[in-house]
Amino acid sequence: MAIKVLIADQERTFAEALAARLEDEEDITVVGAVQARTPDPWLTAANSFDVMVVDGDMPGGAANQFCATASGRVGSSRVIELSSTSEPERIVKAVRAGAAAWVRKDQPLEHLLHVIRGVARGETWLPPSETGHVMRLLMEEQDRRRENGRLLASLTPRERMVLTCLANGTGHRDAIAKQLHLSVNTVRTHLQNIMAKLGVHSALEAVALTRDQWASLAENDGPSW
Amino acid sequence: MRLVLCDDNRILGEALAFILEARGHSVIAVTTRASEGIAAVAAHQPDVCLLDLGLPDGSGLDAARGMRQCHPDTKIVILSCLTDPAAVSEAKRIGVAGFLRKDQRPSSVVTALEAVAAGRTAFDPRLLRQPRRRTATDAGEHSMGSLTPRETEVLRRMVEGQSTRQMASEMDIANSTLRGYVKSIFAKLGVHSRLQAAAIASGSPDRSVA
Repeated sequence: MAIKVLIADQERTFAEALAARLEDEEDITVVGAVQARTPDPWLTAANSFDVMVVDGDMPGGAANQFCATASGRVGSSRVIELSSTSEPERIVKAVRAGAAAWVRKDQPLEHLLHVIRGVARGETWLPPSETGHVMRLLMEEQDRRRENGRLLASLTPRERMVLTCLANGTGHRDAIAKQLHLSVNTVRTHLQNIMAKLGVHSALEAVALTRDQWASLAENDGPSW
Repeated sequence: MRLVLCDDNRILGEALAFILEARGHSVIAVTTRASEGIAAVAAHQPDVCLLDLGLPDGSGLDAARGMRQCHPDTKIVILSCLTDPAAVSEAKRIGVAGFLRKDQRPSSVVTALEAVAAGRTAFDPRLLRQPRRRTATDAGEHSMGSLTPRETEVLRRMVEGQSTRQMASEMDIANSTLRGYVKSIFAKLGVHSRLQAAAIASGSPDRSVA
């Protein structure tokens, strides 16, 4: 049975030209080729596909949101991100969002065909020159997340609420107090305790510690701590 | 017609070559760098060269200039996602025969290339209606995009939670210089604190950690 491919790219010319070329392959059928700049839930919901080819260079990491919705739907990771670069940090983000492959746009089209067939069989494809670096980053990140998770788990629910205010950009203790209906003194105490428990010296550092937890929040529909 | 394609997106180049050849045209070379594009035009003297603006080793406009010099009979058509009016008028000044946006259907691109080969010009009419009306999204992207590389670096470090002293020492600049960058970031993003800047930079405005 033919591999059903869905294409989403910022550039309509590219999405449709690629579709025309893929249609020439006997074992590939294109079920959709659309111009998209933002992750459209309808797109992935309305099309039944085996492999999705998505523009990894969409602004604001939109491609990774496509990955998250698409892999949630088909149960396994079947998204290929195309990009003009292959920075390991970006590949790591894509992999964490559920991408199965990362292909540079300056590669021959023949390579993309190869990857599409591989991903349809359940394979994973990363640029070989970056694979080592990507794996190291993923392992380091996991260690750091575990440690951060442990620190954040030591916070009380109230302290977490205060930290949420900080993360959303509310830094002044008067504003936090008002928002949470607490006294300014209480907020000050919470802030001091947060810093002490997390072992940091500024609100900014405390917020930085929570960044990975948000990412996992967005991916798994629930906090890991 | 005989064509040379030059776009850093090789997959796009090869896909368009497939479509053009299916229409009976001959694509002599699919190149991804300005230097390769110029060399291919000089070597093969095609009827038309389809050229991207952002190439890894230089601007497409420079490449167009080089091509006009080495073989003025080759018609040049720019295919770009950029719609900068300055680029369009500069392209016209250099003497390109067309300027197309990458939101066209491939068939329109082919039609435009055929028109150019027949001696006509092909400028996307939308590119001639300037300036473009700006939307709120544009403004947001612009404010982040208006940061200089140094400021972007400072913002990234802010998101990571670095202190002024830490950033200054790692970037090897004076604390006062660093504060200057911070001030300028605040002004460009329209915020008043590092926390707000970090909240904007890390994307989602209302995430919860609780």
